[in-house]
Amino acid sequence: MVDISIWRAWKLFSVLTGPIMDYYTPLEHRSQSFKEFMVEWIITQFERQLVDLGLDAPWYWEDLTKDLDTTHHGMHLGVWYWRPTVWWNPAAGASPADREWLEEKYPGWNKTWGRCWDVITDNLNNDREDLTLPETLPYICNMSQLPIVGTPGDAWDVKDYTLEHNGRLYHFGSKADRWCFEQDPVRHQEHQSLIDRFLSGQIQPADLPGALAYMGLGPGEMGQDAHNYAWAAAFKKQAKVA
Amino acid sequence: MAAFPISSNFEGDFVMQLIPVDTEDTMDQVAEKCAYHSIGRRVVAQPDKVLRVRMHQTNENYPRDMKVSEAGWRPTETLDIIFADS
Repeated sequence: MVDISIWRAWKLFSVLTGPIMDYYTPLEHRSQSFKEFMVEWIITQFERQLVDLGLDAPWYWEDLTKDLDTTHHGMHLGVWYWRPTVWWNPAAGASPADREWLEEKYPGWNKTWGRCWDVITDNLNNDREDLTLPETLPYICNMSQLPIVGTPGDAWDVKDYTLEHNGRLYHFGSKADRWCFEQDPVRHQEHQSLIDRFLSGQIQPADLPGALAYMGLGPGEMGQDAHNYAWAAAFKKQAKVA
Repeated sequence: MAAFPISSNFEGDFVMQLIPVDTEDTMDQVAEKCAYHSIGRRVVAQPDKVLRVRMHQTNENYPRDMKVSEAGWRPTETLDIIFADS
């Protein structure tokens, strides 16, 4: 039960605390990266407490440690791209200075996550805001209810952890999410993610506006870029100077 | 002719997406429908490559003219859409 709770809490951290620390907090106020924070407080301190209590680290500890380099970047990009589905205005955190900091804290960021942000930045600077907004839904994990994400760009590595159970195909964002389901399938098997409800016709009309209405989001409530894309304009200025 | 939901795992993208295809669609048409939601949005086009479809985490591409109805997919099957030389 403890192991299940820790994993599920980690997933919430990855979509909330991760983006807040590495993207929303203005650069000059960032005292440490999300990974540094997690390594200090969770991987090191919490692990020490488990050992002191005579407990083993959960079986997925190595997976969680590896995921500190990736998951929250995907959650952030997902929340930003699908910003109409959230009720706050996410900051992109992808200005030239931001990207330099991200590269320092997560070597290789520009050749992976940066590749997606390159396309988004180009679109914004070429009056194609429409291409920076979604026209379909991300595939959602049947356990965490969060998008199934992975590393993009040059090191592309997105994996779906599937399970066929009682004739139904479930999708999970990680081995551990699937393992959580398998510990108590009777508890989880009837639950329908947003995708499942969409596909079973519970969301009408069956399109993105219909999904937004289902989630109770009206036009004044849907998220927009926190800085009205000012961060993207910085790249245009850079190009002009060059 | 019937709507069929798949999960698109597009090469170079960061997330899987829900894509409605049709049972009569060929693999080329499936790839095009998936590309609409990735290329030019978060993935750069590669005009010298062909988009191929394969079952997630396998190495064998489906024939380009094979139809969805012939592929034996389960609803919401995850497909990898990859850039190939042919």
